[in-house]
Amino acid sequence: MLPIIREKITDGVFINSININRFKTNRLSVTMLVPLKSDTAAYFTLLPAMLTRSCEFLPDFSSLSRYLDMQYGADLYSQTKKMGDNLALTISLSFLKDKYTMGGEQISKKLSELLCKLIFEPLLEGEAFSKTDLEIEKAHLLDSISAEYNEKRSYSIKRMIENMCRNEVFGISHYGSYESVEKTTPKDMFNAWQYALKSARFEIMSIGDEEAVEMIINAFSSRFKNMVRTPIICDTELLYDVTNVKEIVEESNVSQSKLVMGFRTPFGEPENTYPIRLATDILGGNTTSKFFVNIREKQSLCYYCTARFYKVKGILVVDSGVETCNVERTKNEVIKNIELMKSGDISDYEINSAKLSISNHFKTVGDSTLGLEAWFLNQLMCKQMLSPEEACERINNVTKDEIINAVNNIQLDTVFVLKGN
Amino acid sequence: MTEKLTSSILNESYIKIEHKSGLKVYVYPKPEYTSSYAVFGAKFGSVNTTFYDEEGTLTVVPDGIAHYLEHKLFESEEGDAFAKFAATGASANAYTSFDKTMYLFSCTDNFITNLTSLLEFVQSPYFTDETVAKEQGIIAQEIKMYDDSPDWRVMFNLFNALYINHPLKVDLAGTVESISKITPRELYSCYNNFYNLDNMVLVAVGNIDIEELNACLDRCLKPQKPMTAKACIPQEPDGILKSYTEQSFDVSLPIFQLGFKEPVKNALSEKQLAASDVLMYMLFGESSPLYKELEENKLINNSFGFEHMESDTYSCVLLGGESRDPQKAAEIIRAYIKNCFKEGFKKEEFDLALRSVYGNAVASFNSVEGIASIIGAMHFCGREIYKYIDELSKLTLDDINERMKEQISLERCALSVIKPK
Repeated sequence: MLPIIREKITDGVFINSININRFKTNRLSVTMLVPLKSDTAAYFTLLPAMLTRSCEFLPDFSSLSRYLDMQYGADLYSQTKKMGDNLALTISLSFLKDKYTMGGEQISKKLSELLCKLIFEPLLEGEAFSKTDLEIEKAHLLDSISAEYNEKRSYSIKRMIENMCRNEVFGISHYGSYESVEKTTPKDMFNAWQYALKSARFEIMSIGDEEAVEMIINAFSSRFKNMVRTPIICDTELLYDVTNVKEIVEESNVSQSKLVMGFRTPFGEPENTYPIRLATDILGGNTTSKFFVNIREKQSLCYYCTARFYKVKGILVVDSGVETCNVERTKNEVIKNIELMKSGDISDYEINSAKLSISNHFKTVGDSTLGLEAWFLNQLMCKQMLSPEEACERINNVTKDEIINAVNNIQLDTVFVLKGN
Repeated sequence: MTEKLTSSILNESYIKIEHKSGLKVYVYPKPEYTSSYAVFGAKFGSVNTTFYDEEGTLTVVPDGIAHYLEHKLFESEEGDAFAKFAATGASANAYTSFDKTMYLFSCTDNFITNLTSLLEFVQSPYFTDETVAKEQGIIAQEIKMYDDSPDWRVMFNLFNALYINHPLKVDLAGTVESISKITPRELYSCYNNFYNLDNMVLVAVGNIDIEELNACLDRCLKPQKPMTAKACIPQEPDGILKSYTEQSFDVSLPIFQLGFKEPVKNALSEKQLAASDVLMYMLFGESSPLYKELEENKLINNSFGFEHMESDTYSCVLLGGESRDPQKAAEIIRAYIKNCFKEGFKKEEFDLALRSVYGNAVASFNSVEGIASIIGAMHFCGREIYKYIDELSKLTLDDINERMKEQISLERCALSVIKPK
């Protein structure tokens, strides 16, 4: 079992460490959880990008990049991800263990300190972030917003969620609106940073050498030691009632139509989500799933038809790419397969395949630093942190009746079609 | 015959087995990992649409047949190979690239059982009119999905500008029309000519018992005649077809790829490949002056990237991403390259790039999948991964300057643009 040590260093700041020797690299990351709101989403999406662009010590992107090159190409990465009604802002640093450097250079200590400096000592112009840096990061984010339409599969899923949750926090784009990004000022960024330091829930992860673990604990403990914090509570609203199914069709000049269907369930973290996750896998999670076998293999309707469960929000999303003339037929097939499951049409083979597949996936988590980081970050909204082995046990204990009950609780809410010509 | 290869840099080793059947097998022990991974494939990819068969007859098959064959091999007389893997929780998949087709699985238990399934299904072709026809709808949807992908289109349009005769120009999966002509007879012809153990490789990485593996190989590998078929790639002139190509598409932000074609007669050596990796990093990496200039002019964003695509019959460098003004971006890149030829590189830039590429190369040994795919790809090009790392660590600035002259030429450069309608 992977030993994870979780330590609270002050209010709302936790360090999670895994001392593991199998990798050539160490991985450190800091995740800040803040509420998702339409008027601040742009600031918080820009924040990790700004913090990984420069700092007081390395005051522009080129000098920071050269510094990372010098430390054997240490990989500095930032991202903002929606987690239910919250945003998870993550900055991670992955780098070679000291023993693999060409000249025996000690880089771990330098990089633990760098991560701390990036968070606590950004490049400031008075009580504002760097104007030059912000202009570039705003351009990147505006491009990302414009380019969402370029990839039709992800665009269609996003549009379905926006429509399904149009009156809920979860329907807000984590990018913020185009206009709100354009209007963001260096002062707004300073305020967002200050807010994060005082009120975000901090989850710091260290995966690798024992020394690296120690260094990061020391570095962050001393920074937070005297800070008075009022951390937020991360909640997510779960809506379950569906009054009528929304059907949205958008026309597009593409050769393949996209069909996305959103279902509501009453199962969102921290409730027990294992039965619905198994049900999702049986429906459209792998090559033995109902959608793969019945819709792809038997009817040749599509190349992919998958089901995914958003466990924090409790919604299930099915998506497929099909001929325009087959959209209705595929939609009816998806519904038919769900109805079959509701009536108990699930074989032991399907249940076992799904359990084995999910367990295999869970057990593999420990074979990459990224996998380990993602595993624990994905559980931030859960009641308790489970190791992959403990999660396997929960999955394997789910009964057929629990799966049938889970499926009987899902309700179609929204159908989005990007209609090709 | 068994050979042990050792790396003093990584402090690791692996084994190369020349099995009596003719198959080359690589076993890379990673005993501390939970998952094991195996990949078994043939040097037969999308570019192999013309060949001299075992009788010496020149044979032309429809575009996309290698990919079609990959899909159909999963089906045997007894049913679907996916089901066998699912029974143990293993996850199986396959991919076709320009020069090879690889079948793989990842598992946490029952490695030998899964390896047996892999070796058996790849060695048991079963194609009938009915099974071949059934796949057409599925693959047609896969093709249409790629037809709608601007990233995919920009790359193939670029190949069509850079290459005159080389089948790299042809879409990996063919077209809806070309695949409609594929017959079981042609699939058997490709299979019998190229899925010969002399022309194949097996790589296994993870917690593997060598004795059990050897017994499995002896049991499963079927004796066969030596390979006599010969791939036939049309003669490719050194020059390019045209320096610019564009396509209007349903996108909201333009996309570009700039490509440099390198004339090759054989696969590159380990040293050439290592020098290319450092060269590309120096030219296009985030710490390069070029990156800074493009970013400051808001001509690139986070989607910017570069890659070297190469095998024994082609080599080209591609760089690009989304851009507000692709022409302007390309103009700056060309001017920068011209200047690099004139001024040369600084030693400091070389040292930084070398460290970074070296760090990333060592880090790639974190992943069982990564190791397996790179050893497989290296094998088909007559290279060895540890030799690559050794050559990388010994590179000098002169090697990079030399490599730049071989690889990069403004005469052999083309720009591909996808622009909004």
